[in-house]
Amino acid sequence: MIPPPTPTKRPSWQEMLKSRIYRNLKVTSEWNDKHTQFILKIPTKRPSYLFPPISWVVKPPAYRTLYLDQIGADLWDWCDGRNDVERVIELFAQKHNLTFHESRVSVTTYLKDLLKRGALAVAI
Amino acid sequence: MGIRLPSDWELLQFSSEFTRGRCAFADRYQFRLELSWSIVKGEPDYTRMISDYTSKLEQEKKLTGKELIKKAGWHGFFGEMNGELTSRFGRYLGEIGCLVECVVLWTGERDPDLEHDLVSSIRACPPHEGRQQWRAFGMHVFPPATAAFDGCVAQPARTEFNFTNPKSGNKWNFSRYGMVKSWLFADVESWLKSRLQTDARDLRFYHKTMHAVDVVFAEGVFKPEGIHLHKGELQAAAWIAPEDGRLYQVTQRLRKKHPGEQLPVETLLISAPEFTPRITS
Repeated sequence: MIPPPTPTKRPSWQEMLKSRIYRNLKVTSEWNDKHTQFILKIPTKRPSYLFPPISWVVKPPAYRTLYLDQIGADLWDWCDGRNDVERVIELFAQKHNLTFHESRVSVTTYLKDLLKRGALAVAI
Repeated sequence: MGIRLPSDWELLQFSSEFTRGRCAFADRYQFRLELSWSIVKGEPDYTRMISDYTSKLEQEKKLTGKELIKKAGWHGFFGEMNGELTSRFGRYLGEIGCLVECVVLWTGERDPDLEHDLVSSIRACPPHEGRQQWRAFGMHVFPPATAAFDGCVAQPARTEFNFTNPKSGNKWNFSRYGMVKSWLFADVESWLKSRLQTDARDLRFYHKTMHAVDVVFAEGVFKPEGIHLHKGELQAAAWIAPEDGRLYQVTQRLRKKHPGEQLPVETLLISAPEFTPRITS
């Protein structure tokens, strides 16, 4: 008989705020020529169905490109593995004169998107 | 209703029903206080209400270490519920006909002084000199007493309050925007113009310096939705508060003349930048 899955305890707010965000080391980043967009190039995984002869015809892109504005570029800078999420939220709140929770909602929404796209990783 | 809270507790949840409501405040790490109220016909029997409630919780094994409390006219109890230390209080506020419940969640130990400060600061705030007083999300708003709360938007760096008098059709809109430098690339007058242009015509703009702040005023007419409805008067004001760098805006749309509703637009909204606690490293 298969034992029922053990319920995993949901981390508290404090635990989530103390987690650290790391950049994907394989991501390359650079500003565009006009310094208006910060470009992230995230390497893509080769799909399992791509083997010869299909791979001779179908050429998937080697990386996915994300264009970040100044706000995204700041977050990318702060997510260096040394700052925890709480510190990133504080830095964002300081820069834009927001309350802690205003900043938390904005930062976590942005970070979730970058995590989903594989630009960042989180360590709880 | 009014309450005085520690400066780092923020309003994170609210409901906007007319006869009952709830709002919850949190510090950085968890919810700390919940306030709920409902309009009732008279004062309840507190002793019976508390004893029924606590015995029900004890029977369900949800409450342990119960201690009954009477504080600043509030009746309640302290105990451990679902692994959290909590204090719960109830009181009837006769001036506004509301039964109010206040729940405080403790992190670590209970703080009787803070508990006393919190419950004793809860008070009824009935309209004063024909005006309501709303002080939340960084705005101090004074709509006419006849206006009903119509809705609220609370997003990061964007807050909006809407009021309407259903009888006269007059409307008031108050808003506050943050991160202005990231999205406002024109002047305040152009922004106000683009915002009002959707339904307003014959707009006239002028500037006034009030408390050393440049305030943009707009006057014009607006056409309400519906072909049978007549045009009305529109007045608006917008400014950036130097203390917090946020953009504040108030608009008054008057469809009909109604006693006590033709108010100078500059008296309807005061920015309350102390509501944005500064985070410093």
